[in-house]
Amino acid sequence: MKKIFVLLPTLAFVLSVSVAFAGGKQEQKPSAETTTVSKGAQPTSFTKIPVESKATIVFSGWGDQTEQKIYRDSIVRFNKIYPEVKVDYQPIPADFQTKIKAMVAGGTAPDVFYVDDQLMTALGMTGQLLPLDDYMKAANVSRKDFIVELLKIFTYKGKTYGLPKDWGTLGLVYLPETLEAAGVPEPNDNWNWDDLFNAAKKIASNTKFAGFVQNADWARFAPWAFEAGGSYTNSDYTKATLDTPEIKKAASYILNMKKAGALVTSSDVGASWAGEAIGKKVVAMTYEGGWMVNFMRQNYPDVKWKAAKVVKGLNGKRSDVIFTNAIGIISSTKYPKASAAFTIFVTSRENQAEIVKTGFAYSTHPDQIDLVQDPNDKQIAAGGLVGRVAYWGPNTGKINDQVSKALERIYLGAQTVDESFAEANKKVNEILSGQ
Amino acid sequence: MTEEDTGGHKAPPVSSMKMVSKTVSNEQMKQNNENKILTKNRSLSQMKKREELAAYLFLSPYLISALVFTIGLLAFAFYISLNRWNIFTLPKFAGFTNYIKTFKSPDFLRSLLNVFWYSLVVVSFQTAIAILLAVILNKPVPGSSLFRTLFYAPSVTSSVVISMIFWWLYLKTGFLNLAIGKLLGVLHVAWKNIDWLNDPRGLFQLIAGLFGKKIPYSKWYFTGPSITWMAIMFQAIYTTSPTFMIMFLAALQNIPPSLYESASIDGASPWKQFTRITLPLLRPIIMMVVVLGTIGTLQLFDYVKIMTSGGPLGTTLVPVYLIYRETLGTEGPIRAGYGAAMAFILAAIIFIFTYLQRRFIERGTEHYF
Amino acid sequence: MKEVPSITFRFLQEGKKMNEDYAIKDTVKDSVKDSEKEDIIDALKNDGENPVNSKPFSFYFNLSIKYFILSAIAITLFFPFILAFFGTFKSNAEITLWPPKILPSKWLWENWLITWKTDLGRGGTFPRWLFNTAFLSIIIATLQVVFCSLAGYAFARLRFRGKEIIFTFMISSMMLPGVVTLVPKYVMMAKLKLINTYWSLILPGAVEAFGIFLLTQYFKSIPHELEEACMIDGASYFRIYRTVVLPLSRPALLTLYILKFQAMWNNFLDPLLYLNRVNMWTLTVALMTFQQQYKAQWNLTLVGAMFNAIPVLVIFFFFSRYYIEGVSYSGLKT
Repeated sequence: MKKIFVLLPTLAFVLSVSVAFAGGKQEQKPSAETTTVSKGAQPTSFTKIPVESKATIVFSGWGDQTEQKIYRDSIVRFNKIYPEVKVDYQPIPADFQTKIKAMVAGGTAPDVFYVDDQLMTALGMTGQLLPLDDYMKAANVSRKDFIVELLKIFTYKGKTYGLPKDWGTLGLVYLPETLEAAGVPEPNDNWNWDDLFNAAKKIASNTKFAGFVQNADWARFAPWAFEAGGSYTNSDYTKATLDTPEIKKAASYILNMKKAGALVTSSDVGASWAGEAIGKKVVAMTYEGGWMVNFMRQNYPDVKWKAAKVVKGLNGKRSDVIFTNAIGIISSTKYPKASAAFTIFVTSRENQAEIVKTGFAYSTHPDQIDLVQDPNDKQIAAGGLVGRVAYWGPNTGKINDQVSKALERIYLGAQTVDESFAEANKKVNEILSGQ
Repeated sequence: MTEEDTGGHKAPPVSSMKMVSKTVSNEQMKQNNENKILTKNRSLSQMKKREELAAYLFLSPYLISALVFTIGLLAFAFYISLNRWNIFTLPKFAGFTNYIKTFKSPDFLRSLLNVFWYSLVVVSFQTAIAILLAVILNKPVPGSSLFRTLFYAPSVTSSVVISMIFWWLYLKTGFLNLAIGKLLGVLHVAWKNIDWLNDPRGLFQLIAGLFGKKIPYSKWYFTGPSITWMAIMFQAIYTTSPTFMIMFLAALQNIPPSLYESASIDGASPWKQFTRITLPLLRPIIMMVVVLGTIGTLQLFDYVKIMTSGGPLGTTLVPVYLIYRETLGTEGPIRAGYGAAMAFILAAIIFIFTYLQRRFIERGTEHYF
Repeated sequence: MKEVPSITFRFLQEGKKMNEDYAIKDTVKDSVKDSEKEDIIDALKNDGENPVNSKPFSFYFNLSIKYFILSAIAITLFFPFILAFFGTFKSNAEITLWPPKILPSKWLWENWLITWKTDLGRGGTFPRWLFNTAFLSIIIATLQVVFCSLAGYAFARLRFRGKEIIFTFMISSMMLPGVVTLVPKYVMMAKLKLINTYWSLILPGAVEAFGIFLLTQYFKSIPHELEEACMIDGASYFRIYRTVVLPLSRPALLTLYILKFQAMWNNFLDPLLYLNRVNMWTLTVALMTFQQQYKAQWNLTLVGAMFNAIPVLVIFFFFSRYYIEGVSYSGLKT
């Protein structure tokens, strides 16, 4: 018995000496990259900018192994143009924003990293990010090269703090067989709110499938709100606009659909999210995004599904919600030029064209939306040209959360549409006034 | 050495009881022995000095670690709670405004009430179940090592799987609704399926409903813990009880078996043996488990982040969720000072609770803090 | 005070009895495994002393009821683990299937192979992460047992000025939610140049309030008599700690070792924050690359979770034979 208590510490210390520090040495020599560059379009029209000599920059992003490979490949492509810049890719697999904030506070931040609206608020608005405008000018890149709406989040006081790396939006995802079973024609570009309502109601009452699945979620609600002409705040993010007829119109539509039995939540049908409900073939339609392509291929390869554009509003106008992330640079970097060169390259047409081919993400350049390969993905991506980001300034997260909560109250029947959004409006105004 | 020491119970005339009361307290005995040791060659003050020096030597690793890693950070956190700070630029002094803001925040007050219910239920049940499991496992039968390992499994099983299983259990079409439906079906009572993880109805609301009274959601302080909240409490009890079980299991090893033997010779029933020998001797460990449990439950965060995000209707909102949100700025600008102020208020509440518990559990024995 | 002599006497008797147990243990020597030995000893003891158990029918009846209860609880508590284990062989879609099936319809053995062969480049491979995790867990659990038992002994047995203040401070330090000191702690680690080294995990993890509190409470529940006997003999405090308190509290030390081993083995946030390079990662951090929103690979996540659970269970199984009633005393030779 005693031996065990002696053995364990001994073992521990033998291990400690042999390994802890051997690990440190091993890092010194960077092992050869195993990734290969696809022999696609050679970047030709690309403008190189002068960079510091012997620059080594650290680049961090989140993402699974697919995403990591895509960025390792991007680095190889970058090194073809800038062989003199070394890029050390250090992915952060989870809690990305927390770690980046801690690193910035501790002075150990990577030079280049992903920036989302949360990091833009924390870092961009407190002077921790490098303005990119001068470097863009040197590289002949203008803001107009990008889908302009995507830059909204990353612009502060007229300066650009991040270049959009990819984006997503929502489309009408459906199972053709369920519509057929109910005798409903497949959706087309002219479908509006009423068409969707009637189709969902017909499916729900005539077949074993649920009609339309949507949870109490600000993002899935946004297309309806935007199409009704609503917005969560006013344009300079100083006042809530949740108590407006437009927002209430969208919310009433959702509530009526729910009351008519045409709309369910994912947990109603035994799924953890709407996409899974489609995969499990328990519901006919939902609003989901481009991630459905890989999700369905990976998990439900035998399920036939299709996508169309989100339906038009009753005024004939179509709108959609856009999600986006950018790449930005820490202002304290030792190599601002090399970092800028890398940021500009990764988000350039040349590199994005390669990424689109993998089916991983859409290009952030408006003239490259057509490059999307998958027909379903193409339908979903079309929302990008009519969509807008659900961005409401530094308190975006809290405001969107209030919208989700207002929807939850309606879903649970705890309040009427009027009561619920009046309360949300009041709360958002409190948040905006800094209470 | 009277009834005081066994927690006020009237001890039966069992000879082993003397032993129990004896081991629980030790100060007098120490004094007694000191006299014997004194007769050797040292003076009392020398003895005391020697003991004190030894104590600080024993404590030195912790003291050094606390000096480097704990004291500074706690002091800094307190300083921050008196400031406005975005963690990147210099803090701006704000006095007690962060504390005042905390007390004025309805969300914070509500989260305190939620977490109070949670702590009360989870700590009571997990402590009781852990003792029960430990006592069951303590009597060796062939294969008991295997049973111990099987009992311990929930605390090492991936939380992903456990959450998934409970999700299946709680679904509107899940096992729980199915089972209750079948059970009531036998009695010819209709059962309306409950969406366990998304039902804001509170316990008191439901009880009042039975008497035809209605408590509106806006009076959140009267509704009691919601159905969803209770469902999460159940999951927490299931997952953490085995961890506390092994703490009790280890403590049971310190009870000399002869105590039970002589007690049963004296005719004490197993229940009497449990309440008169086991429980009093486990008191320091019960106190530890309750204190650790209280600290852990009042700082609950993961379940809420993963499973409910505070909903439905704010009935599962907890303080650390708000603290996390403000300190790290997950939904808005970073307000580390406000987060720290909330954290210190929470810590003060935890301190009061654990202090009272300690006073209650360790009544009549040597205690500190 | 009058009882003291009689208690001492009882205790000495107790010790004698234990020696007898030891003698029995020796007679059933190496023919059986140690864990079973304990059971047999107990059975022998029960047979001899308890009149109820000497009747074969009621003895077996009681035993079978006992097994029934044990098995029922074991199934309830072990079921999720079983489901997780079989989940590692399922396809992603089958794991989330409702209603769930326990056995996979098609056994995908390759899930284990895919996980094992994960390679993120730059030395970030699965065996390496497994090794890092084991290394850190063993070191930290060992250091905790050593340093916490020292401090726990002082709190439980010695009298010194400032005891209450230090103890209260220690317990109080656990009451502030960790998220508040997350950033300041990171900044401090960065200033100490410990980022991206294992020291950032080992140094703050070597001794903690939790472990000290745990052991203090155990030491308080150990009877004092033996120590006092040594005290009268003039033994030093360190000798009493080493030769009396530590051997008596083996189950408690083991408990702390298991809890801390498991805590480090499953620690996620600290390695994520302090370790940047993929070859220095621990398992929990690396496994997050299987779990991204809308793309979660549940089956691979579950394989990884097995690597998190099985070592802890094996260690627990291996050590759990020391959780035997009265073992503290039987091991003691005075």
